[in-house]
Amino acid sequence: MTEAKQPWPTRIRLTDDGRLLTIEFDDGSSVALTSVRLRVATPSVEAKRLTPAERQAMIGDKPVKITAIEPIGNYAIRPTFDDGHSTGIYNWTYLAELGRAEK
Amino acid sequence: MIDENAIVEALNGVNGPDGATPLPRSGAIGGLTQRDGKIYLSIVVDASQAARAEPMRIAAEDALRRLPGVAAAIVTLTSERAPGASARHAAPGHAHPQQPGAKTAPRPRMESIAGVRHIVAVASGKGGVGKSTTAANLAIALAQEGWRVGLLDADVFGPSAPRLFGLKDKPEVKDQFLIPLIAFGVKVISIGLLIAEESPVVWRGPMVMSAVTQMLREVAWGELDALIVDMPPGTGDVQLTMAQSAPLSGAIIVSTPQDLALLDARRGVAMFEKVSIPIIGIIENMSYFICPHCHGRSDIFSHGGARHEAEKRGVPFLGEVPLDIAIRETSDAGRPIVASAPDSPHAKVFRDIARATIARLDAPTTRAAPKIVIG
Repeated sequence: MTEAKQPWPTRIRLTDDGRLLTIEFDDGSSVALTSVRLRVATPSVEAKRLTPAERQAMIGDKPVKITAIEPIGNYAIRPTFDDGHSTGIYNWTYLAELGRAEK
Repeated sequence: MIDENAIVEALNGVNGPDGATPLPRSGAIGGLTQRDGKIYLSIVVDASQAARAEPMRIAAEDALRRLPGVAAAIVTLTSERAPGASARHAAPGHAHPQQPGAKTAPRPRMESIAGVRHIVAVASGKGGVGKSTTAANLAIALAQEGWRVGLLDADVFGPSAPRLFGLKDKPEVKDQFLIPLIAFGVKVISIGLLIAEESPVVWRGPMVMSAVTQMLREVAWGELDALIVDMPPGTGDVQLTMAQSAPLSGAIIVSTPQDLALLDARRGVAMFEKVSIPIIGIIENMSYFICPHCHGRSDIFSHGGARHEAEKRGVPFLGEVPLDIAIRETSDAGRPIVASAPDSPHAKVFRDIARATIARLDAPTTRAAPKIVIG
């Protein structure tokens, strides 16, 4: 099966008053992403057409926090940010990619 | 190209939806694009505040137009309200008390259903391959294996569970929860139990979703090892949304062995793979035909196609169900063959499929959604 090749998350933890999201994978690795990083990297279609620079300009370095996380099936999460944005669905592959880019 | 910083600078003079925070810092900007000196900006506002946001929209347009080099500025208001929120209102006979102007209710959450260990979709790429009959027999076979099983007939376009299980009573409502009917050890809920069998139902997409969400969430399923969801046939928007909104452990695809059906089955597999839902396996229905008179075997739809397809796609093959008059008759009579003739070879086929399904579901490789911990 295709998904067997990718690490699968076992636990997702929101800490630091909604500012840090830590994803632990079943291969023992983990990635920590800030709420600001996730907000700027939203995969929402509304933001997809923006370039990274445009996103940065639009969203800026405002200290957004994550207020809620909704599981989507068993393959993704949909966080709600305190600036009202909540249409980005982050699947495990994308979260792992963001984690790799961080390193 | 107009400098982005200049755009942000211009919009800083416009107050966001809350009337105080400058627009670029309010988080309300949904998108910004520009082409040939035209700027397109979308501002996300709550649907209920659309009228109040109009002055902000005009102010933003004016501010952008004043920028040097801007030929035109088009600012639109978009609403980010959950489609689910409005769909819930459309649910028949289901009204949430809500004050006008009150904060909109949160979106229906797609968390797992308490007490239900596995939710399994039984799907097919096209109609007429015997998906519902297979789902019913599989559910009963799972129950015979000692599992606590529920069957949700989500095929709202052609609900067949009432007939397959011989159910006629309307389910009772207790504490705002529907009490499922029980037949052959399986808890059954179907839209067909709530409406007359002959009355045609015309469904719009959102209505299907709200009806299915209700049947998932607002039914007293109790403790279940598996909830079998009989999906509407096809790979359209409704099926995709359903696959995404129910926390599925996996999907079983039913197909006949002929090429045309397999083509659609392949789409079914692809649809579930696209949303990372594991394929538990493919079942070949109407696999071969044993003539009741001469006992000769005919491969009407050219047998073995589904097995071959499963091997090709690297998904498990669960079993072959023959095309047999006994299966058809018992299904139409409301006594599925696994229950009415448990010792028949056909029942054995379904039992083997049930065992394979249990093995797949309880295998440690089944991917559960991760725990989400806050704090």
